[in-house]
Amino acid sequence: MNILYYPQVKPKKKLIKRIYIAIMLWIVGRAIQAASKVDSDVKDEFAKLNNNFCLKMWIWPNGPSMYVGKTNNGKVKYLGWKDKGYKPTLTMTIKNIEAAMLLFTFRESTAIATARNRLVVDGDLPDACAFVRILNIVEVYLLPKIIAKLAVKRYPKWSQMAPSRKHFGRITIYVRAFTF
Amino acid sequence: MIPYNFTFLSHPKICSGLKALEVIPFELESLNACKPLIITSEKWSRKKLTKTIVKALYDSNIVIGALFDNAPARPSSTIINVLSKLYRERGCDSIVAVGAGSIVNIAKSVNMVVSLKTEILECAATTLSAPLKPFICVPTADCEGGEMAAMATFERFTKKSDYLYPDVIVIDPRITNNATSEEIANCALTSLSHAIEACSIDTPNPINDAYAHTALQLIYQYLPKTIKKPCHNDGSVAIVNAAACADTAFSNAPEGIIHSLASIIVQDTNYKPGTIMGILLRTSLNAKLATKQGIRPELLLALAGIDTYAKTKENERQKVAYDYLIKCIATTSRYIPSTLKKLTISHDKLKEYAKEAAAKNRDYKEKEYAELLAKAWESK
Repeated sequence: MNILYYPQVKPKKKLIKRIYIAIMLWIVGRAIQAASKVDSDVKDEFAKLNNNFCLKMWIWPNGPSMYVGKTNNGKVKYLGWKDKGYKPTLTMTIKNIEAAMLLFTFRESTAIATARNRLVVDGDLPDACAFVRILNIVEVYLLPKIIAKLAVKRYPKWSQMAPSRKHFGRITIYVRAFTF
Repeated sequence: MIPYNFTFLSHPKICSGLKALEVIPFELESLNACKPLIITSEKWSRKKLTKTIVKALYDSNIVIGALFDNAPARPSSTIINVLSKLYRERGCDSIVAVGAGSIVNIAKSVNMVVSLKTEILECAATTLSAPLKPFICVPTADCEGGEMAAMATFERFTKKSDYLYPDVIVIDPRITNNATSEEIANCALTSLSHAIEACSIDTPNPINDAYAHTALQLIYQYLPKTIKKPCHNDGSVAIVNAAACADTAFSNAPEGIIHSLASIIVQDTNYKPGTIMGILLRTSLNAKLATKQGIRPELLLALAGIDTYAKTKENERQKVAYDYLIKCIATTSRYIPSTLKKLTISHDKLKEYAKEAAAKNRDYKEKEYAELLAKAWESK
């Protein structure tokens, strides 16, 4: 048996999926920054976090990634996708690009992805829970109800988020996320 | 009564379900490995499973040392030596087996050879005292029993060691839904036999029972629909999960009469283990019901659920559990004959099998083996 017949294989890259995830992470990052100024619940959640809070959300092993942190004056900022020597206090690692695709095409909610062991969290668990709550609120703002229902654990009722607040917040977040 | 004298070990991490294959790179890296040798057979390669596996490793730092898709039906020392050479020459650091039966046995044997740095025939006599190289098992739904257990079979040897468990078992519907109905039936019957034997021992092991009961529950629930439609994603995944649970239970229990006899007959006749075990299991259950020993009432709880268990009178639970098991075995009747006679096994050979089994497993007497074989040869 000629063993040279069985070659060494170097797996390729999934470029399109990586680009899609990178864009989604950018949108979510910018939207979190905008929501922290627009929505009171997001503001409260961030207020409870330490001032040195820095989140790194990335796809193992080569990214893309997203950094969100709090500045010294307590403002929330999307810090970009590049590691510029940040010291993340909370790292959320998605185990592979396919798991990230399930999450960011809203076929799986964050809660389900966590339950199915697709995420690895390194850092304070209460901070991670707070961030997942923030992510849920942001998704409710960003996505139409029919999609957001798939992406979040529980879609907020009218009593929890009035339509006026939701639609006004949605416009403001979109404008803030894509302008300044 | 809670028995306090028992031991239990289940080493493998089971990753099951949607996109489970994509966790392989992450799991390999957590096992400090980055260059696996992938072993599979031509049959699965033709069904494009190798392509699926390679695609699952896209976008990772893993390099496949070699993709060997020509595993034979028997784990001979020649193929084990060739693969060990391939492993060393390519500088691999782990093994991934895609398939069942001989593929997994070859992979485990290669792992022993490359980890112990010795010859395969010497491995049979060597005691494993340290963990082997990382080994990931990606089972298909044609399991023959023991793939995910702490054992390996090569040539005519069967080696048992806690270090022979796979490190990770990846059960993905894209891999499991390629089997035929007959293969599913064989896999289910092997798992059923292992699970029933594991939870029929005199000294109960509660953790082992939990594994065995899970296997029984999954088989009872999913076998009928998976036999009808073997490409059923949920069903095939459930059957392979049941096999994983049954193998773990089997590893933690003494070898039963059905397994001992079936392994001897399979070696001699080349029939699938599930076929022989299915026939022997039916006969064994009949005998157990007649003596009212070996069928625990709790089996009914696992098979039928709490409602039926609570509704059934205490003294009838064994009988009802037996009925459920026979009903489950009957779903495979299209593929599995009811007697050994129909398999064209010669009656003269039964004594020989009983003698060999008694020499191999001394927990039972030759007479007991012979009785079971005689009943299974021509039972009604």
